[in-house]
Amino acid sequence: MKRTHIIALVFVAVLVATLTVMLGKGFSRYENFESSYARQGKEFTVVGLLNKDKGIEYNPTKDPNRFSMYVQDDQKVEKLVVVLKAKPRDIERSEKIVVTGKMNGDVFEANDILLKCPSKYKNREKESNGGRTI
Amino acid sequence: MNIHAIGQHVLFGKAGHFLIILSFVTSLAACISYFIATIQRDNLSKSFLWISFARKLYILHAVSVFGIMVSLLLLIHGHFFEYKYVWEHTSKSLPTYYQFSAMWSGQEGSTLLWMFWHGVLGCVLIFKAKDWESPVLTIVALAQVLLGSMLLGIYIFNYKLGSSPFALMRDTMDIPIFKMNPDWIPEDGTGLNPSLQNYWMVIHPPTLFLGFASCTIPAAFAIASLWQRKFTEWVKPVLPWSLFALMILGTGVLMGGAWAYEALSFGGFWAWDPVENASLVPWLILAAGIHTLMAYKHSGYSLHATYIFFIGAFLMVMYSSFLTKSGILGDASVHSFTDMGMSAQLVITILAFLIPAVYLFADRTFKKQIPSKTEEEKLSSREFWLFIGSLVFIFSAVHIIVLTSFPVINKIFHTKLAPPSDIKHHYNSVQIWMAVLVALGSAVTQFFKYKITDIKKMAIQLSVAFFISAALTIAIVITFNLYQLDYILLTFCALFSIAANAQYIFQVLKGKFKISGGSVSHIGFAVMLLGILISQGKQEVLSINQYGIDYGKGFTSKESAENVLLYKNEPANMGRYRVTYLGDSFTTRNIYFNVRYEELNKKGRIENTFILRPNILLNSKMGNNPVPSTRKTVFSDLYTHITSAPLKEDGSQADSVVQDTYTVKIGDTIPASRCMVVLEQIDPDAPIEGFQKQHKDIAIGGRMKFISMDTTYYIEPVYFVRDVVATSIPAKVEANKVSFSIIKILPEENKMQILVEQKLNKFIIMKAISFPFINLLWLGCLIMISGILLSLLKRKADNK
Repeated sequence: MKRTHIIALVFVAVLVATLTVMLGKGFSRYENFESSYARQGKEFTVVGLLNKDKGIEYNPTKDPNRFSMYVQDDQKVEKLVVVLKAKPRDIERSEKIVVTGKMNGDVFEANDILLKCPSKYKNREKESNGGRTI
Repeated sequence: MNIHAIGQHVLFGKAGHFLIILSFVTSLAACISYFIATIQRDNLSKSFLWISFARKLYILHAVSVFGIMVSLLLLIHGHFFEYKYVWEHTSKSLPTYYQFSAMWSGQEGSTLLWMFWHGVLGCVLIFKAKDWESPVLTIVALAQVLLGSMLLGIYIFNYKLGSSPFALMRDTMDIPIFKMNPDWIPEDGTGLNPSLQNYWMVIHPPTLFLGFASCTIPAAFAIASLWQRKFTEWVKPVLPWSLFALMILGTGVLMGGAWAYEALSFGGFWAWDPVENASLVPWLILAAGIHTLMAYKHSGYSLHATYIFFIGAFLMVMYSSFLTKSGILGDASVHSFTDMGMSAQLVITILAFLIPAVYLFADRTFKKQIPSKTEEEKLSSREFWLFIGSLVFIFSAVHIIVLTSFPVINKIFHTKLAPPSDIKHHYNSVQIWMAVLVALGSAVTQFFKYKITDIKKMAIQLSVAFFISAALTIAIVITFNLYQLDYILLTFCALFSIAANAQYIFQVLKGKFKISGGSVSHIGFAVMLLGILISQGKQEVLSINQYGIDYGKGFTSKESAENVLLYKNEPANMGRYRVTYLGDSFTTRNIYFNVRYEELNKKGRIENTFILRPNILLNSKMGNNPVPSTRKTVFSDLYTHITSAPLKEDGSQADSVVQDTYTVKIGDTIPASRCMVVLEQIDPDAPIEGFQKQHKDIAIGGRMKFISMDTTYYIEPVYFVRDVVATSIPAKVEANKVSFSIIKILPEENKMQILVEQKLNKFIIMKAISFPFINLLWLGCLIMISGILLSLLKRKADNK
């Protein structure tokens, strides 16, 4: 075997090792509230829907870096989610919310949040009144 | 009623659709003709006939793609909202120059842009590629066929092939109004996403897609060379093309970073977002390929690797378009498009190149036709270290692409992997080591000679650069407090690379800039790394909120408290600045927030005053979009961004009253804005100012200590009952515009309910970050790009 081949193999081995170690350790997993409830304090990523009826609590005059809301996961389990960030704009119109964090008691404490906003066609019924006709 | 007008609008769309079909048919015919010309190589006259036929077809194809773009632009410019693409991506109020951004903001438009550049590059190849024309253009035309099929928007056996930008609303959208009135046309479009309304979005996408398109050319040469078994002749013509691709793709990626830095609110130029990653990875692989190609050109080693890298870079471009266009990144990226049902088509496109490329490569390898040397390269040879260096690039690329591909892995293997929450930190901590190795390699490798090197001589040569950069490193580490192993190493390696390459230019190349492209780009790359390191490693969030509430363990509130609340006309200290929100001002589209920064020296005197005007782009349909404002100076940038501000319906800033109810017992504290009260005593017979109590009256007071930043005194709201009628007499503090009233007494628990009402001045919530020496990053980019350009010009001149 040539030296370059050996190096290439070592390189592949290191790469695989790095990735597996990373996968085992620092990585998050997509779960729902129930399974993250069972494993308190471990980091998970949960995809869910914002409960718009219960509203979002954001009180910037007290703490601009904290808001809370109720999120329902795909198993229809609803939990209070506290996010230590400023409330993202447009969260009210989001249709899907991805939060990363951990369960602490009955509260999901998130340190990251990603919003998926609805496709723009959602408003089409409303807009169809303002249209012009030929 | 304007029948004439309708006819015109429909005509544009019809013309556009005709051009789409024409471009598809001509690309298919050109591909087949070039293919026949290639396999009939031996029959010169016949082959020539096919080539000249294919040329005409390809030029016609390129012209019709251009025609498609013009038609689409006319539709957008004319505000013909009966077309879905126009309705979806533009509105009447959109300024003309953003109509270009709107054109390529959708999937169809971006595919079109890509095809346009393939068209242009193909035409250049027709004139320049000589012997390589027919095999290379077969592959480029194949790419056009596959991309063009994504614009067709026709049904074949119930399968929708592609999506046309000329689709009418009434044909694509199933909404009730079309049943009642088939001629209905929306009054206005939904408009361009406000974050795309930035001048970078006019030039970044065309540049990036030119970069993507030019990645096709080296891969096409590589496949053509395997196909035609011309393993050495392709090196010379492919070199300028690969350098061109590297230069343009690099520029495009960096422009994306500049856009993110200027227009987006995440505060930085790179967020390791999947879409960003997907455009960086081909660049890394291409860079690796160019280095192994140099090794092959001079020593005969690393040809296999070069094939893999060039073809791999192109496949990564295809794969990245699959990632962004298939909607698979849905949960992972904010930038991705939604699924348009074209995933299968995208996968087929990748396979259409992957399978033949793998077959040709494997076949030529097993038949031992690809030239490779049997003896090993020496450890002291340049070719060996070029190969190692390119492995580092590949390592970096694989790490990025595996992480970015989590959604794909999850889909295939039904796993549930999610990226770590602090993804930026994760990437940075791995990639910084890649950067260290690349910087070190770019410093040392040029001093190796091809075949064999006198190591002693080399060590002596490099020692000057080594000691200079070591000394500078110590100075920089002390100045910036970079006491972290990876930071120190990267600083050293980057400086070493700058010094060694400068030395190489003047000592070895005798200062001839025309031939020093490689060294210049290495210097640029190293300067870039330094800029990234200092501006990111030493970035400082000035707007740390000091009044946040500690939520206890689990929440590192200090780290995430990066937004601060500023009341109008009330200065706050942030770092060495005194910052005041002065008020807002309006235009029809934006609301500007004037934020004054006063730079204080150590004695607290004002040294320098400036005003930043971050704004919010108002958009009722898609939501308001904050636009940061950055003060740029030579040595440091100060970035300011409005996280939120209470706005009224019409967009103007609202006054707000905050009401809160607390149930408290003696000793409890009630927080309010910039003040608090402590309930110290419940007074069963409280005095009421200016009021004579009667015998049966009940007056319960809550004696509270009022504490604000400048003062402390006592207040006492009263709960007053006369003949079953209860009245609450609030205690007001005018200075803080706050009042406290007792609204309920809970005698059993010895508690009372207090209502706190506070009228607030206008306020904003903002974030301020300083990025020291970020200009090194942009300077490095410019140097690197000019270096690649130098090499490109030299290689072109060599080929003449």
